[in-house]
Amino acid sequence: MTNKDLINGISSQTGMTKKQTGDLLDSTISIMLDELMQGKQIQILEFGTFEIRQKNERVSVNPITQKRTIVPPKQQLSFKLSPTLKEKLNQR
Amino acid sequence: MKDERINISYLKQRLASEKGLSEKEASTFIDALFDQIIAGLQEDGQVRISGLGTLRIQWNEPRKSVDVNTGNEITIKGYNKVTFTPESSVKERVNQPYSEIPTTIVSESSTPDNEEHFDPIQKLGEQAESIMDIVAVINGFERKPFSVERKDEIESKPIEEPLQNSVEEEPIQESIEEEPIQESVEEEPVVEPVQEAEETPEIKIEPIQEPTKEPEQEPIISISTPTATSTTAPITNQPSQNASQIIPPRINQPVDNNGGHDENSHRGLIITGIIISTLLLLMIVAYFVFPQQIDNWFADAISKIRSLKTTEQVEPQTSTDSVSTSDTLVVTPTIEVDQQEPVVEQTNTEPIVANEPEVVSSQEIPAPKPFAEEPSEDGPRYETIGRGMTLAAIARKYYHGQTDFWVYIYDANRDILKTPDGAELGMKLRIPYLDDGDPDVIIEAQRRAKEYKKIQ
Repeated sequence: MTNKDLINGISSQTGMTKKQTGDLLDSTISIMLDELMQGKQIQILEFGTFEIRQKNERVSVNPITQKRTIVPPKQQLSFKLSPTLKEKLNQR
Repeated sequence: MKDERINISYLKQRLASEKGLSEKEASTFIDALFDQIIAGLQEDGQVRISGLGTLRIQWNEPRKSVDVNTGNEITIKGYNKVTFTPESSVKERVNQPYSEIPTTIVSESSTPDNEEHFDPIQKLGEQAESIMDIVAVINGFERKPFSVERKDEIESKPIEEPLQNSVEEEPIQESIEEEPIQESVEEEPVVEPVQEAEETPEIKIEPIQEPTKEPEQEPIISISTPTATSTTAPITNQPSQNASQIIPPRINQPVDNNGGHDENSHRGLIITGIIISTLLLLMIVAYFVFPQQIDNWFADAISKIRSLKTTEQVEPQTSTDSVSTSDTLVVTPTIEVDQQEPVVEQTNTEPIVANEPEVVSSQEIPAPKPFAEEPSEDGPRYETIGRGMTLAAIARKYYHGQTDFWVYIYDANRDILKTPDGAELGMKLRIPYLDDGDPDVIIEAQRRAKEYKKIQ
């Protein structure tokens, strides 16, 4: 499902125009990212949790050249599936 | 902050306020959003949300495992899970605080440590070499060229060190306390390659000790080397060493340097070196701690000579009195006297000519001033210690303000003054006649005054 499909689906479900839906979707995502950047988790019931996670620096070894490199620490946006959705997805 | 959670209703509120929507509209939109995402996941297995990322369903294959508790084989059922891959723009934005840190290639991490460890040691080794060169020049030796083995020893040092720690502790302390004398004595054996054990501590110590001091101390080394061959007579070493310190011109006499060096086995050298160094240390300490006793001992020797040579002199009762007490303190009186006789005679001759037995009292002669005091114009001077008087005050009074001259007063009264500040009320102190205008005498007084301060 592409972004286009998503917008179509939402507009058909809510009765909004596609343009309005796309606008709202963009602003929703920007709000979500804004909150995430403030270090907050976004927990959506029956869906999952978005969270920025801190990854520590680590030493990785290139398996071919055997060169060791230090991978710097980084922050990642991660998503954790809620148990209810997981169940739903595995019902079949 | 990190654990602060935002739920879906907060999201709805914020969206409504930002876009000017009613709460109901925002609520229906967001509900529809997540409904559609879930529906999309179920239909296509993946939902791409532009500006955020892609949600994708992944099928985890069933796999076999072992029950930890029972040990039975079990199969874990296959299941779907959702993975989320953020868009690259989101990724960058999220990781902004760490974006500056580059991935660095680790240069072989284990080896540089070793290099750093060895570097300073090798530097020390170089220093040791240069110091040994200096010592060799001073002693007039031809230093043996450095063999390659030495470097090996240095490198093997970290391994040996822990083993020999207990043994080496002694030499380390000694050489630290003992100052340059010790160092140069042991330096000679260092040239031989077998000296591993003793070598390591020295290399460590050398930077602490200033090489500049060596030249001064050089003559003492030459004295101690002959005794290396004969360890049986360590006590005789004492007077000779003291003599060398007290009567500088005599120093060169007992030099016969290269003695039995080469014949002795290296191990023997090590042991003798340690013994000598300890003895030297003890002597030096003894010299500083009991200066008056040593001086008394000299006085003893002189008085004996005088009694042998000149029977007509009546005076030296005071000195003999003091000597008799000090006699018990000095361990080896008779043998050394024979050795010292010539020494004493030389210094003694001038004062005897001076025809003034009292002022040329035995205490003054061995004192380390090459310039004899002025012959007295009148009889001996005395000063009785009153309340609040100090040697310095007396010196100021008698020597035109030269307070440092108290050292000479002290020397002249060693028989009653045990320590420089040992003057007591009612003591009658001899005041020697001195030329307080002679710069040499003044400098000598200042030097010795400083020494006394250091000792205290």
